[in-house]
Amino acid sequence: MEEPIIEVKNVSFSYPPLEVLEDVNLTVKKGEFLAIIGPNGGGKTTLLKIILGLLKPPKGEIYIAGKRIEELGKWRNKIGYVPQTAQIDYTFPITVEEFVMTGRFGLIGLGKRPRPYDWKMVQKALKEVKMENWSKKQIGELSGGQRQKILIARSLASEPEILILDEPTTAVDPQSSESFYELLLRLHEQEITIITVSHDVGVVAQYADSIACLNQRLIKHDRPEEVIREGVLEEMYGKEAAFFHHGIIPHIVVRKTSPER
Amino acid sequence: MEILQLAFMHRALSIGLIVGALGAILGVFVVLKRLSFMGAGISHAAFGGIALGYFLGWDPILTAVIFCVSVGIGISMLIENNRIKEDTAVGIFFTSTMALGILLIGLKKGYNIDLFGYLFGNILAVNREDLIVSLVIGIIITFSLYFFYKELVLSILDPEMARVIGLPVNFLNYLLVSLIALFIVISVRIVGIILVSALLTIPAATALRWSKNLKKALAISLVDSLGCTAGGLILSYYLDTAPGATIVILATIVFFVSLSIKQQMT
Repeated sequence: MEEPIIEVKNVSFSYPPLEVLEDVNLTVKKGEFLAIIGPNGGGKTTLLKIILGLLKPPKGEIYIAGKRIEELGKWRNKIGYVPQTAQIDYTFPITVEEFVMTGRFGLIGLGKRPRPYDWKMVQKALKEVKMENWSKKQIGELSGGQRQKILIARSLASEPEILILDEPTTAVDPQSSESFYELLLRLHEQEITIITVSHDVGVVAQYADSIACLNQRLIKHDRPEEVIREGVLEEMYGKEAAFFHHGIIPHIVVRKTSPER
Repeated sequence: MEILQLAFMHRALSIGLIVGALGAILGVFVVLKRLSFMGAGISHAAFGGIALGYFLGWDPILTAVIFCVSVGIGISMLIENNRIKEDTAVGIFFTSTMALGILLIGLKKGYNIDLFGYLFGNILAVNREDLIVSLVIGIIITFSLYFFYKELVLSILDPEMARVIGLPVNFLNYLLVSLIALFIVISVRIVGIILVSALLTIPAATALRWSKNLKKALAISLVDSLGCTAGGLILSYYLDTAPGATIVILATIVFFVSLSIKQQMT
């Protein structure tokens, strides 16, 4: 549990002239559940994309399981990725089980077809998210919460050691959102390292081991309670931020004037 | 049937069915990736390619193959690297390659080209050589789609995920565009430059309305396309109409009829 699985060292990134990440350092231990929070335009998605290898930072290094990200090779398949739901065309003629199978394509290899073992892993992933009875449906027939679940199932199908989620509950109703975080907790118990980006400070504070606040610069709090404490959020979001309180826990944080990208 | 005893009709049906089958299969990928307009653009580039072949004294079809593949990849690269919107990029190449064709034909005065045949197709003038070229290109297209089937599916469905797991997404895009270009060049003989993108779009669009999975879409598209190609050819013989246009009109009627049946069912 103690060895680092992801190390981000001195990473800076900009979409000129906009500085997005400034000298970011982050270490995630094996089996850790980390939530990244921060305002829109604060660089959350950019950081995820850098960790996934989709963007290459001009400055800094990323190590995953001790290897430089450029030299990951086959280990790349042990990273499960759950994008925002909106990115996928749900009219695409593909059934739930075929969709989940796409998560194993990197393992199966170029030009090859899925074998019985691959289908077994797909069924296992669907069971994990309790969607096994929907496997023959077309993906467009699912509700928002169910779509979220098959995205998770897809990322689980490759038997990942790291799970990276980008605002997983944005298009999901609160009830599904709750059972969704419970699912993440179950995966957390299986020693899967989880990194999730979220807007929902109050919710992730209940579930995560640690919280990283990101607004160009990154500050990691190994005890989530620290974040809720007076001052930390104001410092990150600025004085003009609006907090919607839920008891003592700020539930949603929005910047009144957020630079959207 | 008496028309099946005519040698030219034999060849026309053979090449029609090859092209119809290829268009049906490739078309499903084209429609899903929203490349129908790209298809129309590349087919007009074929005019420039054929004219260039005539101008340089090279084989027009072979020149058009190389020209169209280059234009297809050129459009894709322009979109990727310079952040130009796809319809703009296609619009630019679409017109400039046609303009090039007109220019080159004008420069080669007195040269007799069957321009009308290329623009509107002349399936009845197909010869043995055309048939062999279509067969070879058909095998290349079918094999490429079969080999890269699952990679193409993911790169169309979710390109970001495809990149995350390390698929060569740019290569797959170029591959698909090159296959479209190859298909267009062989089918120009059947329906002509102006109508060729119909073969890539209409049967696939009809099939996708009825399909929950891709294999079913491919099967329906194939049956629809083969039926319309054969039916259109035979109809055109009896009605004495232009074969290419008859095929396209028939496929369009099937599309709208199936669409209204589907709407009444839901």
